[in-house]
Amino acid sequence: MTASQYNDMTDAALLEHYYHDGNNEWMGVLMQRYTLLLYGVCMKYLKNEEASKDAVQQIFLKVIAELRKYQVTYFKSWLYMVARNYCLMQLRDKEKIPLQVTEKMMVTEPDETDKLLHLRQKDETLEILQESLKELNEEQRGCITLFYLQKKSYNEIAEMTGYTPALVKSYIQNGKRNLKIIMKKRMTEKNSYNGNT
Amino acid sequence: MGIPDMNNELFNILSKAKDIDQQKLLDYMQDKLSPEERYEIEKLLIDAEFESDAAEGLSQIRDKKKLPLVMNELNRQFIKKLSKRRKHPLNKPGLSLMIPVITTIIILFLILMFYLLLKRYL
Repeated sequence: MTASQYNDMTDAALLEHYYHDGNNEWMGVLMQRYTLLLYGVCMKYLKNEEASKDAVQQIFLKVIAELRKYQVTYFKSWLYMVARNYCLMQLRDKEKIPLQVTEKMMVTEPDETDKLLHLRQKDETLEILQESLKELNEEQRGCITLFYLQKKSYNEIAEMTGYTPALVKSYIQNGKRNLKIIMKKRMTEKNSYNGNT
Repeated sequence: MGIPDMNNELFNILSKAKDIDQQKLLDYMQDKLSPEERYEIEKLLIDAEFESDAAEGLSQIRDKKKLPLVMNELNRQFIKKLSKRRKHPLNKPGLSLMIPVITTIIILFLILMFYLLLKRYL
């Protein structure tokens, strides 16, 4: 069985087959879709190529063992959590640091229904977006503007601003998150104001 | 850039996370993409947490040309381990309940047999 034969099948369909007949080959196809991502996540935390390769194999086996016990719905989010927890446990064992459970570790449904997007057609949303953008700090606003409006890459923005590409990405990610928070706040305020009048 | 275009770009800020093809990410890491394709991947990386973490980790690898070989090796080892493991019946709740029930019936049956034997010979 080669993974490419099953390109058209979704993760959920492969999982369903696996839960139905318990055949490990379905798992082989599914897991090979994430080898690169798993290796990358392990590299981010463990910072060692050989240790990361070993960690990927351990995560593969852990996933197979865990899937026999639990019914997983959102495989990708769950796999990410398993991989990250595994790496953090490795670091904890190595450095004896306590593993802190963060909100990010929880398996959550992927963000598929962003309410803000449903308001896309409304001019009002655009107006709020522009106003909210002004409230971001200079670094985040600058990077978001260069990235989304001028379509500059991380490296180009890094050259223009003097930040590292990783910092540029961080400013865009945090800026975007803050922007959504500000927009939601403004929309709530606007709705409550309209409700009062 | 006209105002409608600019508005569209502004709405991109509200875009949601989408999956990134593994091969595309590999090409991105190996610097094989055009500037436009590269920008598209970077736009997706902003929202995709799993891919974003992976890209950060992969950027630390010295020889990125070897990445396909490493992937093949990892996949090969995994498939080898999988083939060694026999097809595993998944834990079904019905089966786990049946075991104590059947055990109890057998024990009761043995007690009954023992009782009948005692009654016959005593």
